[in-house]
Amino acid sequence: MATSTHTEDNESRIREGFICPICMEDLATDDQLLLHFEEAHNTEEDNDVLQAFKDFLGKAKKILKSDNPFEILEKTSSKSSQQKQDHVEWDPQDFGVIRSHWSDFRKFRSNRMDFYAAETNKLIIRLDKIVSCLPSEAAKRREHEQNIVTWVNDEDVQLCPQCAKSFNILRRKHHCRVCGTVQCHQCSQFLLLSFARKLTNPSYIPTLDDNKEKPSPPKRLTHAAFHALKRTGSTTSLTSLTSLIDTDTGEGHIRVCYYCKQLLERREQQMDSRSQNAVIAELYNEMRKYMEKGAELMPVFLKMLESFSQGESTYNLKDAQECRLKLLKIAEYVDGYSKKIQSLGIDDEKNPTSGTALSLQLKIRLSAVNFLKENLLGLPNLPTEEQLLVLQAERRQAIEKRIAQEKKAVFEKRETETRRQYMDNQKDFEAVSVDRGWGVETSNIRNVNESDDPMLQQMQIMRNYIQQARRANRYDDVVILEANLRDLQIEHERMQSQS
Amino acid sequence: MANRGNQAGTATAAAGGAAQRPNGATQGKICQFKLVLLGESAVGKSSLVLRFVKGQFHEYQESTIGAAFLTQTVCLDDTTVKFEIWDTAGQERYHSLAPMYYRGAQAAIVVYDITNQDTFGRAKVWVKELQRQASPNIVIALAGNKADLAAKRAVEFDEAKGYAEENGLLFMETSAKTAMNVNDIFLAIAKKLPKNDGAGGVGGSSGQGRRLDRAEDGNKPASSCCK
Repeated sequence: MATSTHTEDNESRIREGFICPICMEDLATDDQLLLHFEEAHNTEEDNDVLQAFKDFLGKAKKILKSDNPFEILEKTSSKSSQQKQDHVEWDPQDFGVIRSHWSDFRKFRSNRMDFYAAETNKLIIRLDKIVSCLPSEAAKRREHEQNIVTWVNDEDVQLCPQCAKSFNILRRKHHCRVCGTVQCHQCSQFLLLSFARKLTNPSYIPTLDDNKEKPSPPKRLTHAAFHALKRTGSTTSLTSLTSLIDTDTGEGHIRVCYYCKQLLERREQQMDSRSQNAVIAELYNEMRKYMEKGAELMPVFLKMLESFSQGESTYNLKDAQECRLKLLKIAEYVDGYSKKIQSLGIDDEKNPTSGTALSLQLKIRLSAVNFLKENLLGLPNLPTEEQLLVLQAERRQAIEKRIAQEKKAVFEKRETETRRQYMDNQKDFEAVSVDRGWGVETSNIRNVNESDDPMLQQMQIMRNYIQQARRANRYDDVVILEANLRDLQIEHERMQSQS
Repeated sequence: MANRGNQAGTATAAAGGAAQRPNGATQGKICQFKLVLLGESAVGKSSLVLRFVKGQFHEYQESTIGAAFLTQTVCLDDTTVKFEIWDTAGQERYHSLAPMYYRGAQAAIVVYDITNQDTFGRAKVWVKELQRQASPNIVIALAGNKADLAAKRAVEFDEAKGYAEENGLLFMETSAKTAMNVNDIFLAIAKKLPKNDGAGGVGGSSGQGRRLDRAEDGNKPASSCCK
């Protein structure tokens, strides 16, 4: 610490203030010390020392005055490195061996994380024990607290570990209630009981009637805290008392050290962020639910629409309109939820959303917009009842036409099939026929006198046929024909005799 | 073959031997059937036969004078069936010749034109005449020809079918032009005709059996079976 430059450990005695490094004289202010140094020790041999001292003091002053001493240190060091670079021109360097330290980093980090997690858990457990059955009476309360956490001995601590100031009547020793370490009142922090309860109870939600549930009313607790301070065996400092009252906003609290408070606050932040995530997750889930509903309903609606446009009467127009309204409502919901998610935490002035959380929210909104654009935006209108009637009439006509065509096609198909069957039969037939059939030529019997008796005419024809058969060497047929000719002759004679 | 042997034995040995054709020996049974076509003129009798016998079709078929004669042989399972077809003229003036041809016929095809109701009526008259005067065992087939002109149909299929069923006729709608059902109707007749000619010939009526054997047919005058 910067303050340590002014203090010197002299035979285990601590001296504080602006002390001359040469004659060890304590001076009131730094200006006085400088003046004294110039006057008393301004000799030739001391010049170097003086210069060095001046530099040193100036630097220290600068650091002390600034809010963040380390910033200046860093600045000066970076300045010096820049100066170095100005003086020396480095050759461009190639990358040498590259080694991944990721696993080392992981190892150390997880060790550290485990440590902090374990530490925090320990604190939470202790806090839980303290808070769960906190006696309202000061003496009992202290006993209760000490039962849970072993307090560090007062004698072992000379200086406040936070501010390194010595304890005295005005600067009393105080114990952290969860780790038992000693610090001064200035350095100690306070946990509100509600805060402690929130930490120890994961499902804790602060409510209006929370105050009533508390084991002890706030005023009495202030009183108890006052007594507890008194019970440490020392008179209560006025400052600590006032500060206690100032910080106390009417709620009980627990004294903790800076480190414990940090750990616990981080824990609370984690819990808060988790609960905040839950909000966004809840909204997102709700949005998803509507999106899924929409995605489910959309094809149904489109199917209906297509059916209508085809003039079908499968669906009811009223149902389709209802379906369309539902879809529009879903679109509205999705839009609303995504907008809510996008603007989540933006109005929060203390802790505005930023970084990955913000980009996540934006992306959710974007995906919702895309979903709406793709599916639900510009939802096609349903045909009106008159349009529907026209479409249906068109469809009827089309169907009739198609049926006629189909009938025709079937008929044609059947016809070709039957024709093919005849052909097949013909083939079969040809396959089984022993010889080609034979028939008489009827064209060369035109010269037959038609006025003649048909019987005589036929006998003449038969003679012609017999000749043909003979020429064709169809003697079997000749026999048949001759037989027929004889029949005809007999018949003719019979008819002649009858007449 | 056994049947044929018996019959050959009844006839003279020389005639029987001469009658046995080489194809008859190699084939199973040989049956010969006399078939006559009847019907109004211009219904397509000649076309039907021409399609069946020669596989031809003439758009402008000359009208038949008297009766034409054609033969066709078909194989039915192990039986060879020879059709001896008499295609009669439809004109009224040749009507007197018809009995000469349906007498002694084992089968008859009565043809009508499906586009002409009158021809169907005439066909019915022919059927009646056959039932009265032809051989009682004659197989009659009713053929509704010109089925390719179904668009101009005047005789309903069911009407003709019903009539055919009532009278125990074979019935088909045919088309000589497209060859539809032409072979089928002849084959159907061939199937329906009795082929156990030997036994049937001996025990059956005078006309039926004898016609079926060529040996007998060749030896004896046709008049013996046809009064």
